Formats: sequence, structure tokens, C-alpha cells
Amino acid sequence: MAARKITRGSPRDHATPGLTGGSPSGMRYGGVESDADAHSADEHEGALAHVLPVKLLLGIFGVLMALTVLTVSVTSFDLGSSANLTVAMVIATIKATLVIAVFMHLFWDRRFNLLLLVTCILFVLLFITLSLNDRAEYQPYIDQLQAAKAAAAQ
Amino acid sequence: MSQSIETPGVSGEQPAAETKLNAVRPGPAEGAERAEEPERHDTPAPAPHGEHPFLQHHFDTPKHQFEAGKLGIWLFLVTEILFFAGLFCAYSVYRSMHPQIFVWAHYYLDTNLGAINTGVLILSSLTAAWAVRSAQLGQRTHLILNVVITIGCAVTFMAIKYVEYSAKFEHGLLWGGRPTAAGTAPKYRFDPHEPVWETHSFATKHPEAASAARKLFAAAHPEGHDRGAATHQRTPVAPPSSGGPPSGSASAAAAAASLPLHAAPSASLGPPAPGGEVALAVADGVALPPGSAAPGSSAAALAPSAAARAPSAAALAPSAAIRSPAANAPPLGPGAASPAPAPATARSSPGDPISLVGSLTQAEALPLLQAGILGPSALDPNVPSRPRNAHIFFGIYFFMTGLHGVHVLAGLLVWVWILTRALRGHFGPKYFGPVDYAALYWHLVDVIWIYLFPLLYLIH
Repeated sequence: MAARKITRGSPRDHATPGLTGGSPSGMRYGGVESDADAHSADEHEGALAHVLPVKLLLGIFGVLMALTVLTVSVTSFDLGSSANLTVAMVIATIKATLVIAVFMHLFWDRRFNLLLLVTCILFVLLFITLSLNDRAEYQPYIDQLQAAKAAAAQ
Repeated sequence: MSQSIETPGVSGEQPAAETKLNAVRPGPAEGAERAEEPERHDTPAPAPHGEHPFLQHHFDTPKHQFEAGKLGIWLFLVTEILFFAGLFCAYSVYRSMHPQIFVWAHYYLDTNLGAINTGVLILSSLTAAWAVRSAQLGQRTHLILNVVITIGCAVTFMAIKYVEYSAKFEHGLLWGGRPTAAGTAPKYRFDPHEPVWETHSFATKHPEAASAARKLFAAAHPEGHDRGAATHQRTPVAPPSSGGPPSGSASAAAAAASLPLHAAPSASLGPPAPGGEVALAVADGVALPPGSAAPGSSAAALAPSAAARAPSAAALAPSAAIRSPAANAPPLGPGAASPAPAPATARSSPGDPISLVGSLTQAEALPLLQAGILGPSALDPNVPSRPRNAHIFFGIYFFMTGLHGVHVLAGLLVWVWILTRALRGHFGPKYFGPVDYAALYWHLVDVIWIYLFPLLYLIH
């Protein structure tokens, strides 16, 4: 069991929660040993789920607040409108990733939940990208119309 | 055994966790029971659920139930993301089409309140995650405390939203469009009471541009700035797609009051105004100011020299970039141009607002152009005004933040439910699914706000 755990790498090793310390084995809920082995992709055999350490919670909270201050203060620098937007979106994505990975346990979670989220985000990006492309496609016609209106007005 | 690997942070909670575990679970016998369990799995025993009051009969184990619930909540969250994606798409498309509207509108939003709300939601995310931890460890007091703080944060968020929304309502920053053909105003009519250059945000970011806009506006509305401001902002200038002069009783009066000014592009006017026809809405139908009514001093200050005009020509150039090749686009469209047959006289006196526009320096003109206050995308290109169709921003703003607010309210109710169950001692190491699911939903609401905040409040 312990050997299986190590595969997930360093900070996740405390995925094995301390609350199970007193129990004689990992199977505390009347579950079956072979059943647990079938879920060997799980980090949290034994416990229902990973328990987040307080230090990690507070650390992520501090980083999120610092990034919020950063994203507000970076607005006062003129990097050009698209660069400012890019910086703001990159910071927002870092914040969202921290929240999803740590606060929402996705880092320790079943990979299937991650698959759901990633698929969803891909579709969102596809949706917005195609819509923006489609809009840009018609810009020349709008410009022509504006020019024609301008000519008619003069 | 893997359970012996413990982190220092977690092991500190050990005694509390132990007592809770022992309270719920018949611990000592479990080692002996394990040997029988494989058979029990193959032929389901009738009784094992008796140990777990919240284990539903169709799940084998608490873990089975927890994982199923978690998959369900993730599926729900995925649909929520797709739900909001439609609004993010509308935002992206409209911003890519009309960036100046977003620049203009963000001056009306209170960045401080938005940032405070971001902090409040992040704090509530922390306490929500902490509540899950407390439930997992069976720490009932910590769980209740964290849930209470989360509820407090949700209430604070909605209170700040209330302050923001009522400020928008008071200033006429709403989603409603133009007056209807019958002359009746829509209930939630977009009708900014305060020009954008008078907002605190604009005045601190671009003081030169704000004072220039003020002077230009005063020159165009000599009857008095306050009155002129109100009249100008409330007069329905013909929308570009109306295809004719405004009709209806209310707007007919406005049309009569608006004085068409024919600005002949002459050399003395400096950089030619984009568009030949300019309809200035003046309250009493009084002829436009020129130098007579406008304070000559400010006019002189604004029209310094030919040298000062050269950079202003450069400053006007970005307006072409704002709305690509349509630099000569009719600023008001055919609808506005049609009620303008009156042979107005072209004036080239220093107090003429059109020549004042030409005399702006780059520092004065650029913020005005970028926000669509002047230039081809403005409602009125030669008097400081606002971008056309600016109310659509507030449609997007209210829909996005409003839908998010509804989610916060729903989350608030869920947390109250969690609180009542926590008070009854329902949650412990074997059963904390509802706390975890509520927290997952709550974190998603936080993530959506993490994107909404820079997109709406931090437009540059």
C-alpha cells in the first residue's frame, strides 16, 4: 500500500490522512480489500478523501490574495490594452487553477473528475474562439457599410 | 502500512479525530470483520448499513456513496461552467467589436468594491475548504465556525453588491435601451446622469482629459454647465439605426431642441471633424454659443496656437484605429443627419466647440478617444458624450454579475442547510459529502468571480 502511494510524488504524500492512524488497516468502512485495489489510481485509500493541511490552506489563501493585489496594481501600468488584458487573464487563470487544484481537491481527486473539467474548458474555449473568429470574418463588410454611410452623409 | 505516513499538520488533530472516529465506528472489532468481508461483498449482507446512518441503501460503502456524489457534483459544475460560457462569449464578442464602450463604462465601476468583494470570496473559499477539513476530521466546533464565516462572507458579498447595484440604479446606468416609438420610456432606461469625465475614476486617472472635456462641454452648453450636462445626457439623440428623426412626444421635443450645426470643413477649423453634420442637443433651442456666451478665457486657453494643433491631429489619428477604416463614418448615421436641413452657420470663432476639439493635446484627447467620448464611435463626435450603444455593456454587466449573484444566494442557502446539519452533528469522518459538495460549488462560484473581476472592473 505504501509503495503504491509514492507514485504520486512529493507533496501528495500526506494524502494519507492522519485520521486513519489508529485504525488497524485501511479498510475502515466495511469495504473490500480487492475493491480498494481496483481503485489503485486513488490516492486516498482508506479515508474517504484527502485532508488538506492547514498550512497549505493558509498558504494558498495568501497567494490568492497577493495575486488579487497584483492584478489590481498592474492595471495602473499601461502595457497596451491587449497586453493588460493578457496579464489579467493569466493571473486569473493562475488563481483559478490554485482554487481548483487545492481548494477543490482536484489534485488529489479521481482523474475522471479532472477529465470532465478539462473537456468542459476545451469546449468553452472552442465556443468562444469560433465565435470571435466568426465575428472577425464580417468586419470588412461592417467597415464597407460605415464607409458608404460616411460617403452618403457628405 | 500507509496509514503510518502522517504529516505534522494533520497529526496535531489526531486526538480529536480519534475520539470522533471511535464514537461513530465500532473500532475494535473491525480487524476481525475484515476477513469476512469479501464474502459479504459477493452476497450482500442485510445489515452493514446500520453502522452508518446516512449511507443510502443503494451504496455499498460510505466511500462508494461519497465518490458517486462527487462525480455528480462535478457533472453539475461542468454544466454551470458551460452555462456561464455563453455570457463570457457575449462579453468577448461585444468587447472585440466595441472596445471603447468597455473603456468608457469601466470608469463607472468601483474597482475598490470589486476588489474587496474578490477578497471576501477568496476568504470564504478558504473557510469553505477548511470546513471540509474540519468535517473530515470530525471537529464539529471548527466546522460550525467555518460554515458561519462562509455564510458571513456570502452576506457581505451580497451587501456590497447591493451597494454597487443601487449606485448604478441611482446614476441611470441600466440596461434599458432607447425610448420606444410611443414616447414612453422603458422602465430600466439607460440614462447616465453623470458624464463619464465627472466620475472620480476618470478624473483621477486622466485629469487633463477631464478638464478638457469639461471645457468643451461648457462651450457647447453655454446656458450653464449643470443644466447643459443634464440636458445633454438626457436628450435622446437619434440612435444610429433609427433611420429617421426621433418620433413621439417626448423625443419630438428633444428633436426640436436639438440644433443642427453645419460645420463646413474649412481650414480655419483645424483638423476636420469626422462627419460633416453635427447635431448638438441644446436645451432651449438657443443658437449655439459661439464666443459670446462661452467664457472667452477658457476658449483662449484651449486654442493656443497652430503648433498645438499639430499634435492634436496626431491625437485624433487613433480614432481611426479605434474603428478601422471608417474614420469618416458619419458619427450619427442617417437618422441624425436627416433633421439637419437648417442652414446653420459655420463659425470659426475660438469658442467654437469644434475648433476646441481640434486644439486638444494628446494627453487630453487620447483618453477621450479611447473611451469613445469623442471620435467616430461617440454618440456625438464633437462634443464630449459617450459611445453609441453603451447600454449594452450594462446589459452584459448586470447579466453576468446578476447571474453570479444568484449563485451566491443559492450557495448561501446551501450553507445554511449545511449549518443546520452540522449543528445536529451529522458530519464526521465517515460522512462529510454534503459539506464537500457545497464547498465545491462554492469554489466554482469563486472561480467565476475571479474571471469576472478583471474582465469587468480592470479594463484598461
